[in-house]
Amino acid sequence: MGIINESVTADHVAGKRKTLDERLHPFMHAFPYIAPHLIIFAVFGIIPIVFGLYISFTRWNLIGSPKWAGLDNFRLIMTPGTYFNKVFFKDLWNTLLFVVINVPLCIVVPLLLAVLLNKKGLKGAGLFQAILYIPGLISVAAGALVWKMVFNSQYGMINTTFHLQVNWLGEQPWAWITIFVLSLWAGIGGNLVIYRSALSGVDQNLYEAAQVDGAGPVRIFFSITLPEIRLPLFYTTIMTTVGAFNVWGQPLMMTNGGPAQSTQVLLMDIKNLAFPAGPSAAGMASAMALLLGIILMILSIIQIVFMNKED
Amino acid sequence: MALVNMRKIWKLAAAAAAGALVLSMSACGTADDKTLHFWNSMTGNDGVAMQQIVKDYNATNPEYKVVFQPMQGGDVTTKLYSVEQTGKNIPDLVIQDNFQTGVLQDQKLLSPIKDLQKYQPSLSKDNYLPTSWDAVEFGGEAYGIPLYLYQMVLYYNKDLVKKYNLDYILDDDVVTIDEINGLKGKLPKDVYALSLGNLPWVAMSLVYNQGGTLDKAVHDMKGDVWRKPLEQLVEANKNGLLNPIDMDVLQTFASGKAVFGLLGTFDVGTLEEAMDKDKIGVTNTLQYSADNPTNFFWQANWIQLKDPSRSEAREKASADFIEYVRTHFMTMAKIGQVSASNVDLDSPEYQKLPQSYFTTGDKERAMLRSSNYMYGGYATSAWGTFNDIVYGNVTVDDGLQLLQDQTQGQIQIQEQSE
Repeated sequence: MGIINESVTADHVAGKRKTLDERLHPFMHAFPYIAPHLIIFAVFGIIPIVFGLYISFTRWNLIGSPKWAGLDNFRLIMTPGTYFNKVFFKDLWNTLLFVVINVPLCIVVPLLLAVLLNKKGLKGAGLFQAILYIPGLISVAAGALVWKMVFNSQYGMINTTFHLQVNWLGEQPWAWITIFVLSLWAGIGGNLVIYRSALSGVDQNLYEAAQVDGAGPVRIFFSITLPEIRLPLFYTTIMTTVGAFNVWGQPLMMTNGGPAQSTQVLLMDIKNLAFPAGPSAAGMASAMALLLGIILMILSIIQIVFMNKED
Repeated sequence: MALVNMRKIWKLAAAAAAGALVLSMSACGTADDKTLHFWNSMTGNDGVAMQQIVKDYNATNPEYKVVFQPMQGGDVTTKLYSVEQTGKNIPDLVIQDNFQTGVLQDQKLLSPIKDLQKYQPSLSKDNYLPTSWDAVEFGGEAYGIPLYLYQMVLYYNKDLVKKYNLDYILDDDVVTIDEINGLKGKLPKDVYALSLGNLPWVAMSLVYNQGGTLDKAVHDMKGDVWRKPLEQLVEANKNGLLNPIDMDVLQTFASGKAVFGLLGTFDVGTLEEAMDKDKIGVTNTLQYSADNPTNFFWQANWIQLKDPSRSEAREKASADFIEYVRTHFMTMAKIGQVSASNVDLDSPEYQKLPQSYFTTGDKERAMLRSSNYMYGGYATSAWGTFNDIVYGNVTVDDGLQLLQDQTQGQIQIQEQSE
């Protein structure tokens, strides 16, 4: 036992010297390749995040040195009755509402379209995919301008075609519906391409075997298609959820947060606080952004744990 | 072999990094490159006009050429803070509005204008509209130079006024909300009395019209100076006298669907393209009361951030350019901007322009108001809430409470930051 221990220790010591070199060598070799990304990620990712974290504990109007405020920004956000408490929780509720409806929409609709387009012998599938993908390449602002005209209550295409008198942008639930339509229109393409790619990788023998066993299309979809593409599904769910929590452009352009701030989402007020028409409240804005980040992180961790468990 | 490759890779990486560094350094322009950097948020028609003035100025072969750098409004402020923090690449010339001028002055970031007046004495109070100069002074010291004024003013469709016999409303050049409400039942269903745009800007005039001032009114958003006109506008909306909220304000007026249109002074060019010039009348902005009528104007100011490294030659060149613009402003005036300089205000050519209405004669000049109160912008940024109140999405009480919470919350944070 003692001999073994001595031998292990000697190997370990000898190995330690060697390991340092060996460990450095691959890093030095890899560094030039990863350096551009690493530097960009550090400059535009890590440093701003760390700085933002620090700012959230301060009062800062973007000039001079931030004044340390400890947890005061968070206290104001969490104290019922304060303006910042009202803003944060109202906006968070609106953001959650958007996430809860928009994420399933942006997962299910592209998935069903992908299954349809992957049907054997279907002609023009590539063309349809391209048509559905193009809105994702158009800026939200430009898309929203067109959709605002479509939904205009006086001369919009929908009201004039169907002889309706709906105030789409100025009343609920229509205001939210216009935002979901824009988000879905812009968001279908990205997930659709991922699902089509995943579906084309599913072993066709599985489908043939299921058909031989008498399984119908619904059973095949739930028992073969979904389990086979679960990894891309998890990936798109996480990415779509993160994107939905960061919603800003759609409500800003379509309804500007109205009516009565019912579509005002968190990022809109974070931006308004950081860059208002007066002195900035960057510390408070950072505190709200940090809380949003924590919520996002918790949700992402849950999703990843769930994904690994399933895997 | 592997070692040789590694060295090559590292050399390449080092060369690329050095190249990037050199490029970025050259972009910074550390040496005096004989150019003046002019930051502004003129991204519309105003940008096209100002760019023409810059081009004309550069064609005179000045020692320092001007580089016109337009960007989105908020981006100018953010970038100003960034360069102020680093102390590098501080622009020589900047345009900011009256409220932002107040914010930057309060933060002690601005150079006094006397630094420019040394080289161009004509950049002084005597040569500008007094109200506009008052708005760049803080404690008797000027920290900005007025460039132009702008606001929502009341246009009217001459044909519709005649058709519906509404001359009596315009007899005193003052249109009150009460008079708008008096049009209930006098207009056909598809013609609105008022196409209402940019309400918070109009609200400034309504506050001053009732004897209020922004520095006090911002701290009491539930006060009568805000409440009374909003209650009347709510009534106007209930009476079907206002355009629906999602109808384009300019289009509604230009297409003859509204008798009056609250549009910007800067909209005159677009209006004249959209409808017969002779059909457009212009008068003072909407008032609450016919007593003490006021036109609250925003203004764009020249400002200079403090920069210890700015040379005297550069300072002189900046003053020269500002003076050139002051004496060559007609290009901008033609797109609807109200000139702040006496050169234009006294010129027959300028007096033919519609916006000269607001600065011609002592009576009109006495109606002008402006403010550089640093928190003034907070009250004007809540466009959605003002509209929610008028269009009935929230009650007047709830809407004003929201405005009060919002402005006071932001002011409270600022006061705790000091």
